[in-house]
Amino acid sequence: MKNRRLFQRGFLAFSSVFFAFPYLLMLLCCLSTDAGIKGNMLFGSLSTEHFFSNLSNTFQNSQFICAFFNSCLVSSIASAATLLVSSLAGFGFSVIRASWSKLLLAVIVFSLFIPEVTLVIPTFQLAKNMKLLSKYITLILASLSIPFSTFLFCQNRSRFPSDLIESAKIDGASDFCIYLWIYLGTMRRICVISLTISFLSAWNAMLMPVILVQTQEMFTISIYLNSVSSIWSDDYAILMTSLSLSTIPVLLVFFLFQKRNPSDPGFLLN
Amino acid sequence: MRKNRAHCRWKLLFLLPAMLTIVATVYVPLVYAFYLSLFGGRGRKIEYVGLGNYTKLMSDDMFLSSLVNSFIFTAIIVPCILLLGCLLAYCLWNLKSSAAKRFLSILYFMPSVTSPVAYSLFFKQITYSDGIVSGILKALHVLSDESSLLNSVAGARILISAICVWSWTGFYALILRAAIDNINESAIEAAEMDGASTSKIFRKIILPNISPVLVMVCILSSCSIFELYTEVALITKGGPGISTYTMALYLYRKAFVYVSEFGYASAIGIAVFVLLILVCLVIIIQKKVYGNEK
Repeated sequence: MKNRRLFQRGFLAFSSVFFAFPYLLMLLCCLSTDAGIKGNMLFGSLSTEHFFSNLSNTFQNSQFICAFFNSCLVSSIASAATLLVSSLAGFGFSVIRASWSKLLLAVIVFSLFIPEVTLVIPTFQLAKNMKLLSKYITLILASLSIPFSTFLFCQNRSRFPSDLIESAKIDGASDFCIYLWIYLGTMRRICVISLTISFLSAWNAMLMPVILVQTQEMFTISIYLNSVSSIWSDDYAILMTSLSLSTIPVLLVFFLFQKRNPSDPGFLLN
Repeated sequence: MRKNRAHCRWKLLFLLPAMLTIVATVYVPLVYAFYLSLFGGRGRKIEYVGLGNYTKLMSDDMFLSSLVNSFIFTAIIVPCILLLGCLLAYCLWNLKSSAAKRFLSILYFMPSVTSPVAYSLFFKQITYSDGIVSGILKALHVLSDESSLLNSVAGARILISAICVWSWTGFYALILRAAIDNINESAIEAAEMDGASTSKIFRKIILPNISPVLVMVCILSSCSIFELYTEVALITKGGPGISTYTMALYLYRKAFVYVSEFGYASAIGIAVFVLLILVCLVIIIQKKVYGNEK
């Protein structure tokens, strides 16, 4: 019994180090200088002064600011649009009782299995033919994650019992009123999860934005970091600071929409 | 009756936006990809070749070796994720303190919300010949002075696999923990009363109960391996040689780096899609056969 507990503790501690080590190292790099990182003198060169100079150097880079702003804009609009469209569809699926609605749902779920890699070339060609390359609208359309979100809403249909619809109808509410005032209210938790996941996937997207954006003013943070890493490796400290800054909004959204209690079903998005 | 039908049609409006965007962003491109894959040639000189691209694909050494690489990655990564994920899930589930549970769950989940570009660049930097990890390995005499981890075939493959395990395991561990949470606790308690050992409880009660979730984890993780792009493109660029080339990287290079062969690249894309479906089917069928034998 004691051995077992010891083994468990040991394993958890070991894996915590495994998972946390890169984050710690990244923070240490932000506190260091270029010379310190390159010369394996990381621990000798730590100071908060370096941190502030790295930070101000990063923020003086107008490209970084622009890319950061673009990412914020595209991810927020895309996640809001995803929430709106998929919650409408989720409501539709719980109201329509016809058998063909199952078929439509299957069509939506099947699109989850189509890999992004397959869609890259045709999306690029279509956008090029319609002269939509390097536009916000293309980036936003490419960052939507509607199939997964709709699936999430449909999977949690049971949270919205049909009795609620019946009683609202007896009170004379229209379908749209039911959606706005009752459905969104009862599915609040799912809305938050859908918003978080679509924001995360829009922010972290890499392959689609890279091919759809060709001008520097439209770079999102992923493309910016990608382009910077291939041409400019002279200051590692600043690179590390930009990397850390680029992960902050995602972690912020993730923690903000977190349930507090680990035994809650909504904890950590599952 | 008639009124009812009109009512139903009105309700369709709720589904319309979602269906339209999904058709426009997924199904139209999918069909267009298949159409494009019927054309061969480079740059502007394109011609109809029918299924010629696919027969060419079957004898393309680069494509076949990136396929083999994907299988090698699957063979390394999926067992690691399953083993580590199960152990983590079980230990987390067994933990009494709820604060520790919460802290550890968040810690394990963090890599899966971190941007792949950011962590790939970070790992690339620390494993370069002048990076921190290389420095440590050199001090331990694992690496010789001049080389770096990325210069050896085995080193590069292990590095990419380790990064994938690092970034995906937390997510799957939490799914598995939720599955263990759903097991009827009285069965486990009864077994404990009868004096069953921990490993026996794990093998006889927990594993059979979470096996559907394990299959799902297998499918999801092998799907992500077949689509692996960011990590490879940023860290190893497919090297050394072509030892870490993946199909996604090959597709990208064919379409956007060399003289563009959009038809051939689309054929690669369709091939990836078909392979993914085959892998899913194999895993599901195997599970069914195995389940029936029992």
